[in-house]
Amino acid sequence: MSPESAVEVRHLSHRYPVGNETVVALTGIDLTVNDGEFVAVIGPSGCGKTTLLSIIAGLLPPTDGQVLVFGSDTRAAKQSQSLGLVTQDPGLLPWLDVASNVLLTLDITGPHDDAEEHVSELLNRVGISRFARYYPGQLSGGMRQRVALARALIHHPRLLLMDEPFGALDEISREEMRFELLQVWEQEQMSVVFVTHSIREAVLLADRVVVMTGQPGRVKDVVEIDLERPRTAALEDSPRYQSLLADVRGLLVSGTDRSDFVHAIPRGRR
Amino acid sequence: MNRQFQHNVLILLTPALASALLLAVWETWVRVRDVKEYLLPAPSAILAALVDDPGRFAEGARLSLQAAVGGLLLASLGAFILAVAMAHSRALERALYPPALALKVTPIVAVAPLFTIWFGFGLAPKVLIAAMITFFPMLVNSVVGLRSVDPRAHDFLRTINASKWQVFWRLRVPSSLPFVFAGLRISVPLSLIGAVVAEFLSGSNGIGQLILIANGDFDTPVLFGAIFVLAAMGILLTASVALVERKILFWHQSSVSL
Repeated sequence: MSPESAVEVRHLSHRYPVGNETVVALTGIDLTVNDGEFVAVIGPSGCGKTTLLSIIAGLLPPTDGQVLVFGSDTRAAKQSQSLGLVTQDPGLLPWLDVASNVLLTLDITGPHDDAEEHVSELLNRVGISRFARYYPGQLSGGMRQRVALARALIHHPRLLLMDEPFGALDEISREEMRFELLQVWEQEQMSVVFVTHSIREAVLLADRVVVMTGQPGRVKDVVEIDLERPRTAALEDSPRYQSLLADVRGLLVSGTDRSDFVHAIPRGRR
Repeated sequence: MNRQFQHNVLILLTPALASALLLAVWETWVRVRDVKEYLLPAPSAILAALVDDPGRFAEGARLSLQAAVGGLLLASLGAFILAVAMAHSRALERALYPPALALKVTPIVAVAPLFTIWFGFGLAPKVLIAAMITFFPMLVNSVVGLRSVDPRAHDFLRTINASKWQVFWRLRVPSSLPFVFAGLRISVPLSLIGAVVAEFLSGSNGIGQLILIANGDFDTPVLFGAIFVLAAMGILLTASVALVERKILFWHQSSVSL
């Protein structure tokens, strides 16, 4: 294994029982995420992309195979506080205000001298400093997602795991959040694994797009996104972007039978 | 006068007027039809009985309230501690649930005399009976509450390496509070029933005993007075729980009304 890889997934399989049957969620997954790389994982509903992310995050033990995060198992990555997690439903603590939600990570990982200052700086960076004393229930979905991002970034993780983080947002907020995320990623120099069901989002953000197919979940192909950085909204008009979009779409359509694809993408994950 | 103030006045005024009207109809009916006092005393006669010896009612209320609140606190604390164990382990839950259920379905009146034999006529048996009757709703609600953790929040805490202890205090306990308060709302009236039943059966001092004596004497105005005092205690306790709930659960949707 090369020392510079953030995530190394080898021959990973995951099965779980449903009633008397065994569902194969993932099979034969091999995947490398280089340090500092932004990798998007895309696939139809039920292709196991969320399961894959949970396994990388160490929330779920794989049935077979191996996952290395920065060269050792995920437990070590958790212990050294190298992971950040942002999910579609962010799971903020409703009884804590925004600042305390973000501070919670530092509370748990251990004492920090300038924690308060650090929190306000980060809230400023994701554009929610005005809402520091608000409670999650008082915020819009987009604002809550910004809080979740700040909470996941406060301890400077080296690997940010995101599971359809903008999936529940309106189009305007999604657009804003995408470019804010790219800015933060460039500043923090971290690696990102970004699960999405939006083809546009995957191509716009990532260095590489991992295309998965379902039943059982496996990696169909990996598409290199050789678009210039920093990425801007104007990029969407470029022919290169359009052709990459078509490539990914083509893989998704041929990767599953057509009726399933049409059915799976717009319905979303849940 | 601003609108909010007007709104508040209306909220207080409407039920007050309705109660006043009800009492007026009652009073008139008793006077016009000349209803015997031992059957149904007029509100004025009940008020006279209350005013005649307010100390007696106050002392009874104090003793019964002590038993009810003591029992409720004892049950809540015990139930929560047991719930932590049960929420932690399915095996423990399976083992402990049947006896807890047996305790719930056993009629409290059947067990109460036993408590008098064991613990005498003081506060202890009354507290224990109030605790027994409120234990099960507190247990069930606490277990459900401790399990009702947002899985996303739990996942997040696990990725930043939070210990089980941190997850418990930072996530599980606060998540359980809406359910604990739901349990308390059910348990407040039950605790009063427990205290009064204990006083009926053991004859120890309190509002229950007051009712028993007034009943024996055919002193219906005092009987009604005791009932009114009991209702007032119930309202007071429920309102106190609601007040604390609104302070603590400001973040939860349920914390809007009684």
